[in-house]
Formats: sequence, C-alpha cells, structure tokens
Amino acid sequence: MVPLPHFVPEPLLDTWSVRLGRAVRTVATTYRLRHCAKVGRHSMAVGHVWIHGSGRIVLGERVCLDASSAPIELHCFSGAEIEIGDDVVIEGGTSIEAMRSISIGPGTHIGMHCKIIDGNFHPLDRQRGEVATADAVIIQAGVHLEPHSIVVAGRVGENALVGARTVITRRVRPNAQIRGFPAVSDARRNA
Amino acid sequence: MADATGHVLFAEAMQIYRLVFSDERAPLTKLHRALGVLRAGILFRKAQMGVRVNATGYVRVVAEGRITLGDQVQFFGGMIPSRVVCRDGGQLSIDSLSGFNYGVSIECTRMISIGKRCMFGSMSCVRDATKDKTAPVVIEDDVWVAHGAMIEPGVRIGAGSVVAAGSVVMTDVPPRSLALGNPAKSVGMDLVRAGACGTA
Repeated sequence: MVPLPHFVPEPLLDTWSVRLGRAVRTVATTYRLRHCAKVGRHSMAVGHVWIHGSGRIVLGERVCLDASSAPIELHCFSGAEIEIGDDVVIEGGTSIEAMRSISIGPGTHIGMHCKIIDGNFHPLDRQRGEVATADAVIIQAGVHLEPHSIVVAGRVGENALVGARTVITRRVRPNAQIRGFPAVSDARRNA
Repeated sequence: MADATGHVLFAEAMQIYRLVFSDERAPLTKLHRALGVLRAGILFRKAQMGVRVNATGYVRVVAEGRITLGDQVQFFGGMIPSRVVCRDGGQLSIDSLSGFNYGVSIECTRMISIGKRCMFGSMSCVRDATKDKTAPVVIEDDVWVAHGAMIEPGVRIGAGSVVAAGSVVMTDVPPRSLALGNPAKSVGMDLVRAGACGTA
C-alpha cells in the first residue's frame, strides 16, 4: 500500500525530492481521474486506473487508488453513479461496475482483485444479450473487503469484515465477519 | 479561393470520416472491429480459425497443440490480458459466437471443448489438468460462466446453464441449471426463478 500524504511524518515532507514527487503524483492523479465528476482533496491514483462509461463518479477526500501492481477498473453506465467516500483505499485488480448505483462508505478498505457490481449484468434466462436490471449496492463505513471477494448485490453493514474469496449476494449485518461461498458468518459457523 | 478549397476539402474529409466511422452504437466501432480481427489473425496464427474472430485486446496464446476457433469468437480486452494455452497433444475447440471477457484463462493439456454462444466473464478459469488429475472438460452451448468462476478437470456443463460468479465447479452440471458455491452445487433454473435459493 502506498502511504497517504497525511501519514507521512512531518520532517520528511521538507526535502525537495519528496515535494517534487508529490507534485508529480498530484499532476498524474489529476490526469488519471479526469473522467470523474468530482475528486476530493488529497485523493491519489497510482498506476493505471481505467475509467469508462458515461455515468457519474464521485470521489471523496484522501481516497487512495493503488493500481501499481494491477489496473483498477471503474465502469459507470450512463445514468448510473459510483460514490466513493473519504479515506477509502482500493487496491489493484479491483473492478467496480455500476449499472445503477454503488456507494462505498468512508474508511472502507478494498483488497486486491475484488469485484463490486450492482446486478447480474445479463439475465439468467431469456435473452442473454440484454442488460439485466440492477439494484443499488451500499457498502457502509469501515468495511474491510479481503482479496478476491465479490459483491454482486446487497448492503454491507458498518465495520463488517468480508473474508477472501467471499461472494456476497444479500445483506450483511454491521460488525459481522463473513466468509465463504455461500457466505456464512463466523459466529454461525462456530456455533 | 484558397479558403473555398479548404472548405471543400474539409467537407470531403468529413464525408469520408462518416463513411468509415459512422455507427449508431459507438464511434470508431468499425475501425476497432477491423483492428480486432487483424489482431486475432496475428495472435491465433497457429490455430484453425473461422471468419471474423475478434480480439479487442492482447491475448496470450500458446498453441503447441491444436486450437480450433469457430466463426465470430470474441476476446475482449481490459484490465488483464486473457490467456489461451494449449499444450502439446491438446485439443482445444471453441465453437462459433462464444465471447470471452478480459483475464480469462484457458489451459488445455488433453481436451477442452466449448460450445456455441457461450459467455465467459472476466477472470474466469477453465483447465483440464491439475497436479494429480487430467480429464476432458466439455462446456455445451449457451453456457454463461460468470466472473471469477473456476472449472476443474473432468467437468461437463449442460446446455443453457449458468455458473455463478466465484464458483468452483468440481462435478457435472445438468442442462439448464445454476451452479453456485465453493464447491459448486447445482440448482434447477425453475427454483431460481421462483426465488427459492436467494440469489440476487
């Protein structure tokens, strides 16, 4: 993970090389996130962030998109919205695709190669060519998504921990620890 | 005079531009398609190909064995390149109109056959050999393998079935059913429509 600007100790900020690096990173971020409707202060993008679709993407403050090891995809259909809150960290290989609405609360950490999508994309039956209906996905504050987890639908409660390779298709309670596919909370598994 | 000539040339250029690039769905679509067909031709030069096989991004191809692609097979480009590997003595056949999203990995050492109009979501994985098992994989027509699903050796997936995102399929899937879970269990599509198994 790349350290956020406000985590850097004060004395280190004085050297000219750090300042130059930060300036370059700021300019690069502005360029990489140019298709976003709104980008908050101190947000940072490293590496290739692939933003496509004509929907509205809003980034909060101090968002960190770390695509240094694998690209990040933000795909927003026209009329859809992706809203990413303050202090969110998104690691490489993650793909977020919105057909209607995806909102990610402040302080959420999204690990490598996660997938967040607000619908099935194609109908299970009938004509596969057409795009299926979608429901809003809400990820609340302080959620931790471990690598390779998939959120297809539902609402992930505050401070929930979603284990690696979990697939979420419905509501997750706040403070729950959940893993596996089908997803089961640790409390229930241990009971 | 020079001004008028400029205008005429500009109008001419616009007309040519419209002729080449006009497409109601998206601009540059025709050009992209042509480039994709060209790219597929180069990437799959050692394979047997039908007409209009299209690769809109880079695909890593290892064609030591025999790869057969039907008409209009599509490989979409994206975040991560797809991988099509056919080892020596392997037979990989993909029938017409199947589509592969980015990051798909197909590894064939003996036999993999994929039917018509199949859809493979991003980062899905098909292989017919693990360390201790080698068995042919058959995927019939109209199968949809969703994002990040994994298909293990010796599996046969029936026509019209769906493999849910993130599943790991180790046993056969009957036709017209939904396979979900790790390891995957199959549910009839009628139950899914009735909302009995709580998907989505």
